[in-house]
Amino acid sequence: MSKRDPIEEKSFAWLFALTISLLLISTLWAMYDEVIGRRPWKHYQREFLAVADGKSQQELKVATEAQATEQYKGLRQEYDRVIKALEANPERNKNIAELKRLDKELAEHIHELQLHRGEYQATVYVMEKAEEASKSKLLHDAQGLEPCIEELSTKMATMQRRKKELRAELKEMSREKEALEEKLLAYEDRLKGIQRFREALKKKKVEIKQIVNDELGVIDRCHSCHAGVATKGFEEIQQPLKTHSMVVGLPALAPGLPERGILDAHPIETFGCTPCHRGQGYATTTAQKAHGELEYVLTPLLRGKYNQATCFKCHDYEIDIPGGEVVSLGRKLFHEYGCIGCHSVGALEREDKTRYIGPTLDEIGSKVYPEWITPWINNPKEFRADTKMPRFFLSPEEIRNVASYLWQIAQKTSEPLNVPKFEAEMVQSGKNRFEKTGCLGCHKIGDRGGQFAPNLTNIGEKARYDYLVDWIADPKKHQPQGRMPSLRLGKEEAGEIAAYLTTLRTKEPGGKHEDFGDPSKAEAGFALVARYGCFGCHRIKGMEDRGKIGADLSDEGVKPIERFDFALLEHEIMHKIGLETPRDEVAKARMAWLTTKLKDPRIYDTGKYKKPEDKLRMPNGGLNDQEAQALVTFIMGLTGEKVSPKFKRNLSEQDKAVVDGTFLIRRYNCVGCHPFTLERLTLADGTKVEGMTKMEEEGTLFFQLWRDYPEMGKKLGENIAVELTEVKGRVPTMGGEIVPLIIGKMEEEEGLVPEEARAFAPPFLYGEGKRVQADWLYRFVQAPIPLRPWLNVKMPTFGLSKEEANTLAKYFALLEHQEYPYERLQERERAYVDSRCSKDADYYMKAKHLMDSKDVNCGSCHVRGELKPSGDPSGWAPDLSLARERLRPNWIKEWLTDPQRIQVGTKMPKFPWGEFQDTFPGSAGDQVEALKDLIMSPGDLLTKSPAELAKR
Amino acid sequence: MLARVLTGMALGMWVVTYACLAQAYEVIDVKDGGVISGVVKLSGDAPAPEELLIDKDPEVCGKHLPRLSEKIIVDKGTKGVKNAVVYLVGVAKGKAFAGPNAGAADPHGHGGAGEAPVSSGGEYTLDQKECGFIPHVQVIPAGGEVELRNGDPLMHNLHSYSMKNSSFNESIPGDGKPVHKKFDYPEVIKVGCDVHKWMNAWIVVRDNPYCAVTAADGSFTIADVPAGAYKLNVWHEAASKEDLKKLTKDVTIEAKKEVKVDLEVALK
Repeated sequence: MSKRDPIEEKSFAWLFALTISLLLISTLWAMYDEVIGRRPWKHYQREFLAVADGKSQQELKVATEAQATEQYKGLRQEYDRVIKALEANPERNKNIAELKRLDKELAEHIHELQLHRGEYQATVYVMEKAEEASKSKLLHDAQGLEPCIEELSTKMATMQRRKKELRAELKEMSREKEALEEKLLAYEDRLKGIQRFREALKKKKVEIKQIVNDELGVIDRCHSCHAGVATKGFEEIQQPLKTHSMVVGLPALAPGLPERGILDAHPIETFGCTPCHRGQGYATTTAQKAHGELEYVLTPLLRGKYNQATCFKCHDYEIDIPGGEVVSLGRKLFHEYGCIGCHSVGALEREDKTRYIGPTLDEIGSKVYPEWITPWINNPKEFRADTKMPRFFLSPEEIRNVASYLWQIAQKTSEPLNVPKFEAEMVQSGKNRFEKTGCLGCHKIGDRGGQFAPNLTNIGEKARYDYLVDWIADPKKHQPQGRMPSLRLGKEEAGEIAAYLTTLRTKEPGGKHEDFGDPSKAEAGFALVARYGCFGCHRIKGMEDRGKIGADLSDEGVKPIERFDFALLEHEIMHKIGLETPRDEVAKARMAWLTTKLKDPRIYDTGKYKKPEDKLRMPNGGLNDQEAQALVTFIMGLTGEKVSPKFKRNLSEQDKAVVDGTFLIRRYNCVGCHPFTLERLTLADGTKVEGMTKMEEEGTLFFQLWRDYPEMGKKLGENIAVELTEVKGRVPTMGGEIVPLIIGKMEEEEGLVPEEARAFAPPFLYGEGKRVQADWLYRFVQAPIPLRPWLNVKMPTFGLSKEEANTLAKYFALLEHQEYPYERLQERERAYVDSRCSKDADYYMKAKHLMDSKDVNCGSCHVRGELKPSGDPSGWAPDLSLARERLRPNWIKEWLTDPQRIQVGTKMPKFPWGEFQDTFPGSAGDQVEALKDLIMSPGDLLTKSPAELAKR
Repeated sequence: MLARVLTGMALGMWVVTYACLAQAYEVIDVKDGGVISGVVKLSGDAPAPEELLIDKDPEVCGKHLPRLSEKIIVDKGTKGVKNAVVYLVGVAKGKAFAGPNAGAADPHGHGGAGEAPVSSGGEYTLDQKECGFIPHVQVIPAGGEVELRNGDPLMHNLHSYSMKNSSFNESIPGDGKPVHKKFDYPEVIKVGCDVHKWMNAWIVVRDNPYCAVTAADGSFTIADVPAGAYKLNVWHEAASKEDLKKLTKDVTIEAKKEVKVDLEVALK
């Protein structure tokens, strides 16, 4: 027996088995992972296909059944009956036969005509070449052919007209047929659509879906999991299969086409998903990776309203992004709170140019009571709760220093003012004037008025009477760059208003002695002003050239998280948002940092030892949650990316003019007084109507329509009564904040009913571009003149630059698709007048008689240059002699024809044109045309009284 | 398109339905109804009658000068106020509207040409004579139509300042054809002429016939009221809304009995 070799004898089978099984397991694992584990999208795609199959099968059933319904059968029968009736209709057959005959005859005539023409041309040619002697005979021959050609042409034209008539008649006859066809087609189309969808569904493979756009840097596979994102009809199922939400209803590309959703404007095949949603578009293994919600990813998915942030990089020209209300508000607040005064943002050129939101401070010595200054700097909101001036972190000592500096630079520039003496009896008339002139359009007192300009509730504690008078009389003298417009008031009138304003106070000013005269304090104050950047919002002498003191925020939205200094609060803040460290979810951490900073700007100094001059400088604007969210959204959208113009919104000339105009309209608060747009309602059944709410009572809305709605059987000017619960969407009128206040005032003082008082509110600028000539508007906005004699409320002089006036004129013109800037108005030209007179020498005189006739009598209300109507000016209507330079001729015609169609509720009556045959024989159109021509005519006929005319 | 037309029709019908609902007043045969009568008086002293400033078209409008305003007409003896409207609210059923010729006309016409409105086709009318509206105040049922006329030889326009009913601004040339307007919702409507600022009239649209315009002595009578408890309101053009609200009275009507209610309105 041989000795056993222990090595040979030792079995390693278990080891092999183990390793083999390990290898097998890992191979299987790898295979599983490759095929299933790292491919979650497969599951989603299958799930989507199953859901889509089930849903479409159901729809197929419904659509098929629909074709078996009595209704469909009835339609079919009706259709067959109509066809039969049509075929048997002798009228129709007669028409068809006549058409055929005409076609045949026309063909013959054409041939004949060609022959005659050939002969004519040949004869003429021969004549031209012939000897002088035979010329006249040949010419005679040729001329002899002319009547024949003429006659034939006339005959053919008549036949063509007849053909047109016949066709129209035939069309009219088959109208019923076509309507039925349309209805039947709707059934069939529906079925076909579902069948097509199911065909396409069958061809769909479970595979990685990918969109590549090199120029945008997009490699997006998101719809590998979000399988239903671009398919309509899956709005109700769970993510990730759901249809993309519409987010915003964009206007249709042309009338009659359906409203567009966000994906129609941003086709998914081009844009993919990440340019708007961020995340890692190419990642497919887990949702967390794809969404970029993990360590070190700079651009994780933005969720909820914050996702609007990404609109900005492409829509940086627009100030109101449709569907981007939050980011647009953020942009607006960034400007209004003066953030732009300290922080640069590359894309905000327009805002940067207008960054001085505060007044210049070189007159405070004569403007304010000295004891008002330090409490104001200490906490502006204590004096004026709605001010945009933020609270700085200054010690009482520092505040005194800043005040001393400002006081001392101001003193030198102030001059004594020449104003009427304050009298107690001025106060009441001042109050009246303040309310009637329109000051409440911008300023608030108590709970009434606009929030655009400073709240004047306790202005009497701040400002001195003398300064106020001079300021109200000529604001530009004191603040050349400021936005307070001149109301063209004399010193006496301004004095009354100032007298009223000085009584608005709860405590007596001017009691406490303040001494800001110490030069060393001023020196320290200068350093503080420089350090805290007061010159970002206030123009301060000698500091105009200083750079912005805050961080450049041009790419704040994608800045690495390490550069956000959470200081000692990292743990606390992360705990609040459920993260371990900021790295875990960069976007969330960034937003938390920003929100915390905005709400309490010096919070990151908490617990740290810092010298006073090293402490954080940003002041506290006292933002509410909504404002903070909007600002954070806006800042998160700042990426510094330069997007190719190809992918930005292609703004037309008109779009740009509207954006620029809207910016100015807000900048000067035109909306404080003027309403600009109609109110829009969406009713329960989806119908959209435009007009104006007349009143609300017991849950019912009485709404005046400003367009015709034939499908509702309602005409422009009529009311509908809608229950508030039936109103699904409501877009209010833009602007006109002062209107209810003026109506209230007129109700109270003049005893008018509200509807009657509306005429005393600032004019509605809806359709203004159609009404006025652009170049007139350009001049008018720079130097307004009173147009409506009955108004107390005044259009102020804003001191607009030429560019601004141009922007406004262009805005109104292009908004209404009018020509801009050059436009020819023939009616004003001599040649036009001559051509009118050549037809009828008395044309203009007859128009004048019509205008002055007793039943038209424009002069009964309208001023005409020096000719004034009788009665009180409050009952007068605009000066017609201004119309030539001001109004568009087409508008005059439309206005005369039916004023209510342009401005519902106007005092201008609708005249029964077409009557008045004794004065101006002709149709209604002729009469209106003649009046328009007279109004636009260059002569002085319009402004002559009948007595003067008789003398001529 | 079809869908839009259909939805439009549906809405239209719905609007119409609402209009019907607003006037869902059931006419029944009232037997043994009660009567409310009384006088609307002025609280405080009667102001001197206001003279109208006729500053336009004197040849037509200024034939009878001085013209007095019809806004406040107070009987010197009784201090009764003319042209106040007394009405019951929330009456679901009762008698039928009496029709245009009953009650609206006041033989003691004041101002204007002093002529009662003549209704040719049995309609409510608003006429204009010598640049004054006739009648100055009238009550019409919701859904009722008014014939707007111009009896002057010059142009007038009729501008209605309504909120619930569709407002209008129609001009009628001298002795021109009348215009008809329908009023669907209960409301007090001022009508003016923009050409002649002093002219105005009031159309009070009510959803039930239990209302009366006070006569020259301020008296009114509302008859055939079914027994029950009601709220009685009063309206006058020169009184403030707030003051009028305070005058709302609870009245209980018993069969065949007369209830006396005297009201005192203050002028604003």
